[in-house]
Amino acid sequence: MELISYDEYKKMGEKEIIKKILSSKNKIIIINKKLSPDEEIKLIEQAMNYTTGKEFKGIEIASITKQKKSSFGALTKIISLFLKKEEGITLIGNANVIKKIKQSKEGAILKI
Amino acid sequence: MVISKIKSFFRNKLLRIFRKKKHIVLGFYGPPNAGKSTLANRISKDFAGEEFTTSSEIPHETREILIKEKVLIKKGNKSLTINLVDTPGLATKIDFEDFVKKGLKEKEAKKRAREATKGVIEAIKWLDNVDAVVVVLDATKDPLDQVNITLIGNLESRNIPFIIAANKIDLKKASAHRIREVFPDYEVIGISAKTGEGMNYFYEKLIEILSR
Repeated sequence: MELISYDEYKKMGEKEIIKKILSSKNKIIIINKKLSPDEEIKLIEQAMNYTTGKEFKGIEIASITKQKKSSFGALTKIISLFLKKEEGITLIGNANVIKKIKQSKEGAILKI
Repeated sequence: MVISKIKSFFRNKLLRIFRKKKHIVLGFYGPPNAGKSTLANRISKDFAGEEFTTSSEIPHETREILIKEKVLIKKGNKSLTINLVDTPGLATKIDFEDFVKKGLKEKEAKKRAREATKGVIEAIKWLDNVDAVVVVLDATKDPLDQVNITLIGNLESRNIPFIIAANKIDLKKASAHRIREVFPDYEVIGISAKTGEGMNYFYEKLIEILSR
């Protein structure tokens, strides 16, 4: 596993992240932030550029958010829009090794 | 994040006002084998008298964008002219061995895999061209999947109106309720694109969403 900060991820870009995953079959990258849907889809698009269907089948990806419980509900959500970035992580792995990253309400399970 | 959302909202609103578009471009998006093509064909047959795409048990049957233009959809006293856009299934991975298991020879399976990856890229790029989307999910499968989450997240962030079709409710294992539980903030309509079950209500809701 390789932990990458979100800032480092932004500097590298989606192409370099996919190349990193390609460089090692067993590579699992953990980014210390939940990627936005736009970032996720760009990653998927980039993965498809390199997917051959055999040597590299693509990626497994899961973005997991830690939901903060608050008695102020909607107010907390409004405040969080203007303050700190959403907590969470993003897992990205080589689909040749990881069969599935199964999402659940509690987190994620890696099936290898 | 807030600023980009505001920018996206105004960009889409302004584009819709100033763009002299006659027909609504309706995309059918979702994972492979959810029934996008079957649903697009049903709508095309119901309102234009003919199908325009093919479907199959083998995943990634649709590997390029297919369009049926100027389909007049009517429900009661409401009607809309739309362009139906059938898209390749979205996936984060494609394995040619999945096609071999479905009976294809290795050479054919590899070719299908290469075409499917290009199809996914094309489908993603086409999100820039659609006015509204039907997200087609297989109601017999677990909807808590990154592809579904990413797709719906993108539609939200781009302010593209959408409706979720929980397809294949004619099958025993189907549960539209399970999809509603995972995506409680959105309109989820149980249908069978194959048998036509639920399609009347689906058309009502579709026209409602497209008319907004």
